[in-house]
Amino acid sequence: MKHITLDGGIKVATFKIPPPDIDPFAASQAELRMYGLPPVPDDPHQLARYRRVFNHLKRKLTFVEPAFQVNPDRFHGLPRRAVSEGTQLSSGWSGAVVRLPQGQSFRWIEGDFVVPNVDAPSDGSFYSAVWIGIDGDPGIQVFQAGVSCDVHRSGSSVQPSFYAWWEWFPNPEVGIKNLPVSPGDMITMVLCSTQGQGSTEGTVFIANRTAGIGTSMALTAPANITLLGRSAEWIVEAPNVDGTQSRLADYGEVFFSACEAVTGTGALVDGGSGDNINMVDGTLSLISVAELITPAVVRCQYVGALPA
Amino acid sequence: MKHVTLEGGIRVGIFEKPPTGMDPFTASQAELRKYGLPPVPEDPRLRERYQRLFRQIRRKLTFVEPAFRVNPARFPRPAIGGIFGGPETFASPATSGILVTAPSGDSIRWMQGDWVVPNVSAPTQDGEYFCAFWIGIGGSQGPAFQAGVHYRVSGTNRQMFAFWEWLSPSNGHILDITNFSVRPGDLLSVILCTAQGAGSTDGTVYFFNRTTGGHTSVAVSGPAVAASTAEWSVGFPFLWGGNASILADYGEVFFAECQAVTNAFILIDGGTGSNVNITSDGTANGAVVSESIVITDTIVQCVYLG
Repeated sequence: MKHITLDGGIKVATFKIPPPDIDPFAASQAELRMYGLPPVPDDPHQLARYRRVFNHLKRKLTFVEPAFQVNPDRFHGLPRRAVSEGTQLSSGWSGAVVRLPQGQSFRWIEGDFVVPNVDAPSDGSFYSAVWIGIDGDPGIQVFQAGVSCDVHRSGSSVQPSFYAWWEWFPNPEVGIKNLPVSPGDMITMVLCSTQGQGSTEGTVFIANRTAGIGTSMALTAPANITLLGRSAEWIVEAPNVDGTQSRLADYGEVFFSACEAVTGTGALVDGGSGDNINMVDGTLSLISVAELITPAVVRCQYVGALPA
Repeated sequence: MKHVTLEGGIRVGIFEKPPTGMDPFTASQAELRKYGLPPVPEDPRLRERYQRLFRQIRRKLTFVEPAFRVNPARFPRPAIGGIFGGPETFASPATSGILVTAPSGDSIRWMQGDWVVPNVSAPTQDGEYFCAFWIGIGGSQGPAFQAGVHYRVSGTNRQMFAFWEWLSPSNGHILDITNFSVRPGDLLSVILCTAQGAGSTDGTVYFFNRTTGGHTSVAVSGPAVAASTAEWSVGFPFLWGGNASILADYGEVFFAECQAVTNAFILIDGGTGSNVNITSDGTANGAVVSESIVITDTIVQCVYLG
């Protein structure tokens, strides 16, 4: 494992690149840790899903050693809203959140999604980030990773851009410079903390299942931050950019599938079993709505910029 | 409407460009027909969906007068190869998805579907791979009226087009719409209307790219369709044979708003139909290559397993 300190003192470690023919089911737990691959789960349902992901990838998966770029002006962070039960409103988040009572914590979260193409409703820059994460609702920290789908319009010229990133808020976003992401790609993400509540380290595994490229990294929590693990979430977000709430890009529609989280005691919690969060603008008009379609499927739809 | 005869004598009708700012909810049915916009449905659920679609897309709706290319490929109806996992799941050599059947004595007149167009990749660096996402009206046998998006992939090169086809099992080709922009990640809404359900020889295809705001429609004709079934499908064309190994890796796709309306104005949800999986040999005994999963009555997920 190679330890790196990025700008702003952000600490991360990268793993050894696994051999091209690695079989996670034949590898030891020590080998999986060495290569930054998620541990093979004991739960039969999780095991079946793990097999499905790796069967899909095994003939074409290429691992890359991630290269990073701190984006000090970008934060995903907290939902920016009042906590309440049932459907909630946020100025920055839309999606699904599950919570645990005090004394319990999430250790692990996973989710799949297809990267949407994006449009800018008018001239200027618009942003969207599709991510999964632990904490933030409640809590002042979020352990998260996702894909940004941003777009800039100037007249008829529309320039979208896409990249993968991770963040352990309150630290800023860190872009992964060499993990290619294109619209329409199917992404699988798995985030594991070492122990749930109290963790100061966590591993992010990202696979672009369309391109057949994967990477992993071990994050260290910001100074004086430990994981609470009280919430897990699957979110389409308008991030905080340059200190202000950004405008949401028209992302069309995103289905999160395989929305599952695992607690410190190994219990499986479905992402669709909690609350949905809708995003609103300053006048409380809906911009992005989330539906809990099934226990493991969540849909987010852009509904913003509607004419009167 | 402008009538055009394409290669092979295929006749299509092209609609007039709608005026800027046109509101389908205040337009007459005659105006909607003239401008190639779908009729406003009477069913409250469909009407609500129509309103949502147009409210979202209206500010950027751009009509594209379609240009065509006759493509020698053809997409098949689900060729059901036997019961796969139970009475509601079937195996096919070339299509996977969901298939609903109209009640006896009734037929499918109209159908719709939304999906985010996946990116695709070639499972190996050698050879050509294909993948299409479409909705279609037809019957268990006989002619079919279908439209969607298809890919042809070779290494890192890929071609993709919106297409429609109205063909008999033995004759007919895909018509690529060469100037309607569809890219990976775009949210697409497609609507098919037949003139009268069973026996129709005329129909209209409506495409809305809800990401870009692009819209096109075309009046088409073909051999009389039984219109007993409607389907939401992922698959590959038949011209290159029935080998599932030519299916490109599409990851996953969710078909949403899967609904069809019969001549008797019965609304049929796609999720109430039968699953069809592509298997390696097209039979129930083959390995599943592309799996279809009903998520809800109106949402179907298809997953590439390879």
